[in-house]
Amino acid sequence: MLIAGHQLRFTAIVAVVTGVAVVLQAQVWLAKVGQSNLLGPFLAGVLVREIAPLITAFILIGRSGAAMVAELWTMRARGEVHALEAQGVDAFDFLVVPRVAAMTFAGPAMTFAFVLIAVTAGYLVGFSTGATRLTFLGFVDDMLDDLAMRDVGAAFIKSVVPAAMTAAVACQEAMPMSPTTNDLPAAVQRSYARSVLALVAVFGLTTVWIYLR
Amino acid sequence: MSPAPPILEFRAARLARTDGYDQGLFDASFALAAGELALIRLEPPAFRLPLADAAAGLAVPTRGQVLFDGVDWSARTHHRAADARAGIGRAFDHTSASAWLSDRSLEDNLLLAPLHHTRRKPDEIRAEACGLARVFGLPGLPRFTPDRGLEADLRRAGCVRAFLGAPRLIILERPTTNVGIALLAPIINSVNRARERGAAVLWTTTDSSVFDEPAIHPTLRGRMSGSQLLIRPAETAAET
Repeated sequence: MLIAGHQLRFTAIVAVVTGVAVVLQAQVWLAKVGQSNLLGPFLAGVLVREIAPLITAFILIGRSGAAMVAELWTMRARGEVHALEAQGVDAFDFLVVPRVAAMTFAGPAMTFAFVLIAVTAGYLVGFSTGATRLTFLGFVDDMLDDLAMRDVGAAFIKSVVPAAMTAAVACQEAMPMSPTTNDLPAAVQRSYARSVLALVAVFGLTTVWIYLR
Repeated sequence: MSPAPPILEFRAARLARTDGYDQGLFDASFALAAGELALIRLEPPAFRLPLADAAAGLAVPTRGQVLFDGVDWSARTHHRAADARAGIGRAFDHTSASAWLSDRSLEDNLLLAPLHHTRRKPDEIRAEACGLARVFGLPGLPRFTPDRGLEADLRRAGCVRAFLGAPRLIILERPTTNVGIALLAPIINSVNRARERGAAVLWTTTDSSVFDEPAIHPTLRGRMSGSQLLIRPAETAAET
């Protein structure tokens, strides 16, 4: 909850900018080629299924993942993890599991918020510039009509799995046996690189699995 | 019926000097049964020894064995070892705040292990911790984070944590450092009470006034000579 809460304002700003850019451009260009009726499928396919989970995952990797590495690394270097284990409190149960669980929840929650904000912002700008004449409910209805269950499933997988993997990678990088403070920047870099690779792999595999079956 | 095994036993345990320790430990052998106290004097500048970590199963001997409740730490699984550590209360020798989770209050830190290991009600644990806090000279449970606490307050809170929940083994690592003798009387009283209920106590000090304190009645007296732990029954040690 804390992870999602801390990120929400930043995510909202990114979602507004993305929503305006994507929705407005889609409205303008689809109207030019006389395919305004494709706006629903376009938004369902691009925004819900790809852009929202992708940007949300990058936000989580860049902000929460890096912060998690730094926090856990510092705790271990200061001896806090040692003190925890000396009291019989398992560091994995106490430090790793809650972080992975929190990120697993934060991923889809933030993706949902991103879609909501992006679509609303895109509609408001499109309506105010005359690019669309639909009511907001009509606009959303149009989009939902073309949103198949597999789109929702793909978005869910793409928002849950990379988020959980980001936390798992961060915890694994942050909790080596004998950390030295000098290695912290390298650990943050490794965590970022491995999380991005995991993200790309999950996106690729999910798309192949869901849409090419 | 076989007699109960010692609560803590070192059998020719050899511990390497690794990161974080000033010195290793060479073939240490001693046993602490219920109600016994080992008072060990550390020689400057080697204050940080693997003794307490080995007693808690966190430092692995390169040779020999360390047994807690008759079972070698290396024979326990990770989770069983964690469960066994619930029976150990420890006042850490870390300076500053490193023995505490820095993002939580000292109160949360104190309640953490009992809440994790037992089904006791939080209010009951809090009441016991509050009573111990007063015994060790704190006005109540400290609600500030460790970085806001004075060294003396952290030492006092460390003692609260060591005695909280009636542990079977109590490890006190230089508990009076930077606090002075003000903390000595409550520690001696608490150690005596713990011994009466059957706990074993391992107490290290660098302070000769603590080591020679007549009010402390150790079962074993030890001192470090290089990496060698010279330890023997207190009566014998007093005669020589």
